[in-house]
Amino acid sequence: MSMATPITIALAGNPNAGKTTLFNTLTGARQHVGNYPGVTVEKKAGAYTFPSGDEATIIDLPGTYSLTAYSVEEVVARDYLVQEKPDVVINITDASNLERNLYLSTQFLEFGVPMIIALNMIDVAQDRGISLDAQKLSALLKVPVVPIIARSGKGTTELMAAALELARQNAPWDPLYISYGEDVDLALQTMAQRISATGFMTDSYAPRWLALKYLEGDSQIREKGSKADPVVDGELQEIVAKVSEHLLKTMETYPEAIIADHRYGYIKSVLRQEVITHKFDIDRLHASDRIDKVLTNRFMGPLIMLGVLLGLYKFTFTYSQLPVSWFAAFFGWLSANLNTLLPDGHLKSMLISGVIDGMGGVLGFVPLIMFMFFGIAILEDSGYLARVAFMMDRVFRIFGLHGSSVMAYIVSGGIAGGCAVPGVMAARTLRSPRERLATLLTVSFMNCGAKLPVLALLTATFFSRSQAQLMFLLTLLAWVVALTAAKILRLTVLRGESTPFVMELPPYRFPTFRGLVIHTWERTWQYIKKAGTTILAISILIWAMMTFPGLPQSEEENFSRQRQEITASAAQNADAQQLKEQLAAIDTAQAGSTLRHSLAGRIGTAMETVSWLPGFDWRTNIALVGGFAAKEVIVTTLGTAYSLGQTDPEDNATLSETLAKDPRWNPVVALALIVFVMFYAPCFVTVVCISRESGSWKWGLFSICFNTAFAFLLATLVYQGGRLMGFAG
Amino acid sequence: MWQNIIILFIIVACMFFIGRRIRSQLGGSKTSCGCSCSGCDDKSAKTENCETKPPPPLH
Repeated sequence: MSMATPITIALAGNPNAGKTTLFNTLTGARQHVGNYPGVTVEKKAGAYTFPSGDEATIIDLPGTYSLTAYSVEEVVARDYLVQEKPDVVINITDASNLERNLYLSTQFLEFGVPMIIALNMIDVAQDRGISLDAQKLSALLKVPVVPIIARSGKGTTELMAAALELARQNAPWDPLYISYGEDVDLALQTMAQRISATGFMTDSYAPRWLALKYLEGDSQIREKGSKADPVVDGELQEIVAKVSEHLLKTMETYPEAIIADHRYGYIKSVLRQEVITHKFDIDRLHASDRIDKVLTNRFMGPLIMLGVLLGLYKFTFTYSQLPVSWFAAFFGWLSANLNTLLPDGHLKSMLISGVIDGMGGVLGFVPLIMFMFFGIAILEDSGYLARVAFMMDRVFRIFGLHGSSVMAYIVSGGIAGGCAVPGVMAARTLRSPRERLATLLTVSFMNCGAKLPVLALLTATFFSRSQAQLMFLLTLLAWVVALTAAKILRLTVLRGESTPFVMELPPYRFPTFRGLVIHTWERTWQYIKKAGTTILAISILIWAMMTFPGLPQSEEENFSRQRQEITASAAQNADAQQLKEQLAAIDTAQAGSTLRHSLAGRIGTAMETVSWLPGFDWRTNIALVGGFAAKEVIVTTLGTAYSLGQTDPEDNATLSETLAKDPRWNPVVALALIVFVMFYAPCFVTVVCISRESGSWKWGLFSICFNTAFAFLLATLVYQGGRLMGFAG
Repeated sequence: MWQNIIILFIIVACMFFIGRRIRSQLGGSKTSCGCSCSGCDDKSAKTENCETKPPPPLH
């Protein structure tokens, strides 16, 4: 029998159980899979066609540990199940860690949703000497259980056949009833009866499940309940208060703890019935644990982490040097050819100064970005990044942040090259609103991929001998500043208690070469695409702002008069070389004056009233304003500004060479600019995301003002301090 | 003259493109995040993102 409409299958399970991998295997999609928990914060949909021709919509739900609304993922997953009522839920479990994974499974069973358990990573479990009896587990839980290996696709055909079979049965939801002991059971019974009698939210939830959520203190359910019927809600709250008081008095515990204990008790009782057997001694350390003994060691771990970080930068800057120089040479050649081919005028100026010298500056760093992403992909796919998060968790607590914030920081560019936008989204995993907000407001301090070309340009120009070491120090600086800012926020506007956190460590996996190439290419392609679209458009607009309205007529005439006078006096002296030099000086003065008179020039010059403190001239000011649109624009704007000021058509110096020759630039100015770029206002898209995620534009605006003020202070300290110490040349 | 017309056309096109991006950002992009940053927007043509309820406000 073929089904007329596509069936809906939801993939649910603990974080890092392999949901996204299975989703990709089934749908042929290439959703990003990270070897760390919390990759999926939103649900995604894909299509699947059965061999019989039936079709299914596969929904990848965010990873959750429970169905109680503690975090956004749990709310997303639960709301989906309640509102959309999928035909089948495939509960993906990590077979090597079954006991903990079945905690969520029992909640699905209590919820009553038609479910299949997929025992994923069965190969990893076998390597660890764990043997599982899927049939026995299926018989005990009364749901189909299918062993699979999501990465290779093994067992997925059987899994989907079982899902189709279950969907065809179209059986009514059948909740499992677990006994929670006399006191809780009695309260549950009373509450369920009251819920049934009054029809209290029964169109969405089963009465006993609803009562259970009340006892677990589920804030979302209680909020909905108080809106639906305040009277019944009040009665239920009263029962909860009574049983809580009784449990506290008699057992010194809370209902939610009793419920969790009984759920684990239920799981243990199932597993003990020869469902799971350990071939080896259970205490024997498997490979991942042995590696972790060294890599996450309290003393050696952080040292190894710093070594890995430094190694990554050394690798990136050493091996990308040659291809970066090829790119620079190519853009120089292109610029020189266009210069000879095109007639003088605005179009030529736009193509050379706006497009090639502007956007080319960003594209020139493609090899560097590629090498950096390749290194990061190795760390990520192997599972080492999760260890970095684990080690940083200890530090984060000191600064009033939650362990879950670590991943948001790393995603934002904790090891350089990330993006603050997914970092902001990753903060959704935080349960405490204050910790979440502190994370949202500080993730943008990390060195995202857009800041990389700016940092690479300035470090290559002024600190070429120790580029990797400086990048390493700048990474540490980003962490120190972000954590300090978080601490300041947690002590002032976001004061509050810290919440506990348990970090799980996924097993180490050998990254596949294909996986590394896909990850590297996907990220590099995004960089190229952004440079060719958004950055190109902004670059052209900034060129226009730097070109128009141009010099007033009187000024133009003034320069023409000067040229005539010099030419006339040179005719008498007959010194051709001197004439050439004098005319070139007038050309340079006119180009500079035109730039100053342009719209951008006027804005930049007006900003010099304060920007002299951190040592920025009007060109840098314009670049920084443009950087609010996207940080790469800083490089394109500097490229355009120096290209427009350039009057010698033979001079094809790169931006780096031009900056090195400019007397206004020196290592102190460069360092002040690096610091400012690292910490000033996040880009526009990040600000929008912060506002959206925090639910208020107030916080988006706060991030602009707070970060810019913070960055200005630091950059001023660097510049003025460097000047006082005599480093400014 | 013809150069100025081409330039004007390009500038208007750029303004339109950037304006559209800003509008889609402010209006709430339905893609994974819409920032087109590396490692951020890698959605497959075969997948579509469901609308997800915004997280609860933090204030």
